[in-house]
Amino acid sequence: MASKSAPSSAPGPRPAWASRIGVVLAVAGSAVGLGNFLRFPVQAAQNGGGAFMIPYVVAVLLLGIPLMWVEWALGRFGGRYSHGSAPGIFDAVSGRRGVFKYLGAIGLLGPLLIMFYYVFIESWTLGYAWFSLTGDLETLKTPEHFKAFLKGYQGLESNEYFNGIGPAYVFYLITFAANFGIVYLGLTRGIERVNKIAMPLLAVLGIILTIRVFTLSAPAAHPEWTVGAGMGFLWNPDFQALKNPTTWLKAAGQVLFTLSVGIGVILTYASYLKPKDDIALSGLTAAATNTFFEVIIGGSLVITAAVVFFGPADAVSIAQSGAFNLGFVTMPQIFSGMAAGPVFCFLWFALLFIAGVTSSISLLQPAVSFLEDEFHLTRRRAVAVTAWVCFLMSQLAIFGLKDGAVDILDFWGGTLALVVFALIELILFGWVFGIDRGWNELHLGAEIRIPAFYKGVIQYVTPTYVLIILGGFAYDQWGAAGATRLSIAVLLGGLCWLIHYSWKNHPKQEVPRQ
Amino acid sequence: MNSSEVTTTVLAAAQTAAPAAGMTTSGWFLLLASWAAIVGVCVFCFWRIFSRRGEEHLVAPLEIETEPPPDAPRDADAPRL
Repeated sequence: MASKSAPSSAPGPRPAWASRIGVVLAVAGSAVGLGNFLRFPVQAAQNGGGAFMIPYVVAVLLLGIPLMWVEWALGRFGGRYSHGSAPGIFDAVSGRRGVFKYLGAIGLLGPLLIMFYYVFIESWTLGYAWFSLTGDLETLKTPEHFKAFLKGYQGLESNEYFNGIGPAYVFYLITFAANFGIVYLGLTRGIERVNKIAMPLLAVLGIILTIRVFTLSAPAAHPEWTVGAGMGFLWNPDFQALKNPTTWLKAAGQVLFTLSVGIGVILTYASYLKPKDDIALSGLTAAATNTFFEVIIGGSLVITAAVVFFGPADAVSIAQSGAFNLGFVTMPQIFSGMAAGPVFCFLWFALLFIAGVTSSISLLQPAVSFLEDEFHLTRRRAVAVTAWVCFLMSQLAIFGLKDGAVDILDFWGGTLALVVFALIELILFGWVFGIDRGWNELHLGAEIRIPAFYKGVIQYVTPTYVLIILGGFAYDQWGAAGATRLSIAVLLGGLCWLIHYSWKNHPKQEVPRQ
Repeated sequence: MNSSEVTTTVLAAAQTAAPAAGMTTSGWFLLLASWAAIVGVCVFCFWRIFSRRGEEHLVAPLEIETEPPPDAPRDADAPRL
């Protein structure tokens, strides 16, 4: 029976990563996405500037890295039993207890929901990279022009630039085909090879753009709008913000999103490791690489450039206008005003596109792996089924953009599912699998020794952190009533688990039947 | 105060607290400390990974998997707790 299969009786060999650096770059590539360059600087600027780094670092240490290790360990363990997606991995880790495999469905749903809209947004970056080269973006002069261009391109309005969604749809099809083509090529020939090329390229592009931003001159009319002022806008701390719980929640949320933990992707990637491959150092390396792109590259580009070009006062409203506006309106406008603007504009959108591709191919792999491992489909058929589902569902995002379809998919797939799934993983690892076994699993083949206090962190601190984030989201979305309902549900779930634990481990006295 | 009001207040505070005057000492401290920590961890991790590259494809004899005998306990199954 497939569900009871041991490693030795697994149906056919599963693929494995060809190299250590390949899997590290693949996980880092999954984590490095549009959010690193667009979301982080906005979050930091809006939540205390440099002071934001304090809750951010705390969240990386107590939330991001422990979760990263947990996912790597769960994934590698599941891979030993020929499972590469959350349902099978959860089933194996829980010792084939029924309920956990169903909870694993969240780890399939989350990445698919994100994929439905992410591939469309990713295609915008490809389209804009093209328009940078053709000179179409150069003809735009004012923010209103750029906004109209974006709205026309997205199909939200018919205007002088676009009279339909046709061009955007062509770029969507190209992006879609590229993603599935890479996944179809397989783990080593597709995903690993692409990440080995894309991640160094991403670093080079990021460093080129950072150097360009750092060498910008202040406008003659405003000599005080310097690069230093831009960096100061982002980094000068407002310690008062630390007294605001929202700042801590935003930092924790940012860390959770940026590291790709709680999605189910790392589980799948780690399932292709060999049983004694290191995961402690690899997990840390992937987290550190992502943080490099986010804080050093992402934190140096958009806000700094916006302050130099528009001044601190306008940078506030730009930061408020959201990540899309920053990426597709503000940055092209900045590049259009500098020497060799189209080249740098192309590099900017190429950077976003590459970051997007390395993330989106990882979002497909859990579903493909689920079909391959649990239904024994060939890779070709698994990719074809996933492609059809994604193609049909992404039409909702494309044609429902005006009606908020992307926001709905983002909330359920990219926000709520992620936090809930992270909590399930932590409970499974720390409490069901057992923290001692989990700790041993983490150190199997490990090249670094994880500090002992992380044992307590994984078991108590990180789940509490995630629960607080979940409560914060519930409060944000549904107000105090929603947060209260959620707390009651969590409390009830906890009590049920205590009852289950007690009845299982402490036999009760027999009660004679009358 | 809802979250958008908080954001607006914080932004307004940031605008007044951070005029176009360049980096403050505390700003420099946070930037350099963050960058140094991140670069330091990245260098350490990649140095460790690349310095052990030659051992990647070694297979120790103990790692060769063998079929368990038919009467062996079911320890090869996913463990039951």
